[in-house]
Amino acid sequence: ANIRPYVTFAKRHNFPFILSAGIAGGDLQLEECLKKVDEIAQEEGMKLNIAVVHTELDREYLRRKVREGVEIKSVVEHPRIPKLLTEEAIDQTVHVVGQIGAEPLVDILKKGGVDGIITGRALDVGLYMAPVLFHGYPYATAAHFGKIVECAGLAFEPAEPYQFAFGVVRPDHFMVRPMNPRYKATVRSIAGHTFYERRNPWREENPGGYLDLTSAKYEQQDGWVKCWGAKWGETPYAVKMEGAGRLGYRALTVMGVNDPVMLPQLDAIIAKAEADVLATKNFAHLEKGKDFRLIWRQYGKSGVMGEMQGPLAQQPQEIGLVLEVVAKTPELADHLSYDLFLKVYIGDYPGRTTTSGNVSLPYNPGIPAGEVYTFTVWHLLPLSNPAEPFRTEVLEFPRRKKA
Amino acid sequence: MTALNKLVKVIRSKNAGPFYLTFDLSFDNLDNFRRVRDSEVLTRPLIAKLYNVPESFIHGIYSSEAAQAIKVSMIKPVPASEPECSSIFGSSYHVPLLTVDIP
Repeated sequence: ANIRPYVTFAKRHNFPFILSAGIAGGDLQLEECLKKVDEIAQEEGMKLNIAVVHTELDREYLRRKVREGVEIKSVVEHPRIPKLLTEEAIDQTVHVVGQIGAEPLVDILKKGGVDGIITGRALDVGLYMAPVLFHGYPYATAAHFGKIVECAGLAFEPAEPYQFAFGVVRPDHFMVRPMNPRYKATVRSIAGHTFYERRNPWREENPGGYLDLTSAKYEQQDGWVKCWGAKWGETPYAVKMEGAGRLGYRALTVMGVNDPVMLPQLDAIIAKAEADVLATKNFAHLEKGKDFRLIWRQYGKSGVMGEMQGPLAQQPQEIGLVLEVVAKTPELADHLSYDLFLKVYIGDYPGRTTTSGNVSLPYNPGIPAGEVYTFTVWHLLPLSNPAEPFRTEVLEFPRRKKA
Repeated sequence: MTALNKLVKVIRSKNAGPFYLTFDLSFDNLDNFRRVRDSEVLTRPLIAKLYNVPESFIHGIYSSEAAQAIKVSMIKPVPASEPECSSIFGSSYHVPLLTVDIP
């Protein structure tokens, strides 16, 4: 993202900016962001004092917490997430970040003396809550305001990203409007925004509490929407953690199936190909689900809905069959892909006439498609001190180049 | 009877985090919104049947007159974090809702 306009505008008008480094928000992404700030400071001839807040977590710190018996619960209930974080899960984790809340940022603003704050992964709403809380407004106001302003363009009509919101906070309400006159804030667009990417439009969990919007009210006032009535409920303070671990390496094979005798038998043909190939001496000692995963997608039938597919209105005349192999090594992914493809390509099945090749192949089988990761940590870290695991340093930019 | 897709302005599916799906139905007409809401056709058993999931997977069904919208949320059976997932952002899962009949 182009952060130059914010950084330079804030510096010139003497108020602090607050931003979080993008995407994963680990130390790597944070450093990329800081390098951009070096450039900006250099090119604009500015000296910037910035509070840099690291939000990538030390895995040994987490292991200690687990060993001390701290209950680190999953963020949401799901059959695929272990209810409690274990040391084993931490061992499988390559990087883990914590979504820092607003409180440490409020402390930085209170200390003062900085041109801005840059964090790694953060509670997005928290970045906007911080100045509102700093000025003494209640949590309900800060959280409701932050929620709308953070998503900005998506709360307006037409809903589009990369548009900005302008908000004014008062003791018992706040007002929002778009900065770009091509867009409109309406009661429906603002109220409807609470629906976007949320499972519950009335309740949003934050560190230390939840935003309760059941009594929230909205009123159109010319180009502004006035908002009030949100409540805040307290919960034990905890920060959401996101951690990734590698599952393996991916290889893809794309096949076109259109033979009318083959099409209705495709499920059975796939099952037989798996059974035959996995029994061969190259793979018989390996464990499906552990050493490798085989994922077959049948586009034209159930490729999109997968297991959620209902009965088909009509039988497909053509299926795009994609075989995805995720395996412990790229060589294993390639080997499995090739042998499975060959079985589907020239294996026999009842009524077969196509003895020169059963499917069409547009690309080589087993296209290497990179590394595959999964969330090994999706848990809440309880904290009595909201800033405890997050290292903060105040640095002057441009930073001095190391010799 | 009118199919849901004839009554809505927006009907969409998306992740609510990697482990949950949320379906939003948005109406540009208050009458259509009230008709669908008051019909009580969208229930946990119906959604569970449409999506081949246990009823316990259905997280909630919500409606807002201010937003003129109805929301149905459920556990995403194959989370976005697993390679088996067929729609990593949770889009394109709205189709089973299109043909739900509303009296």
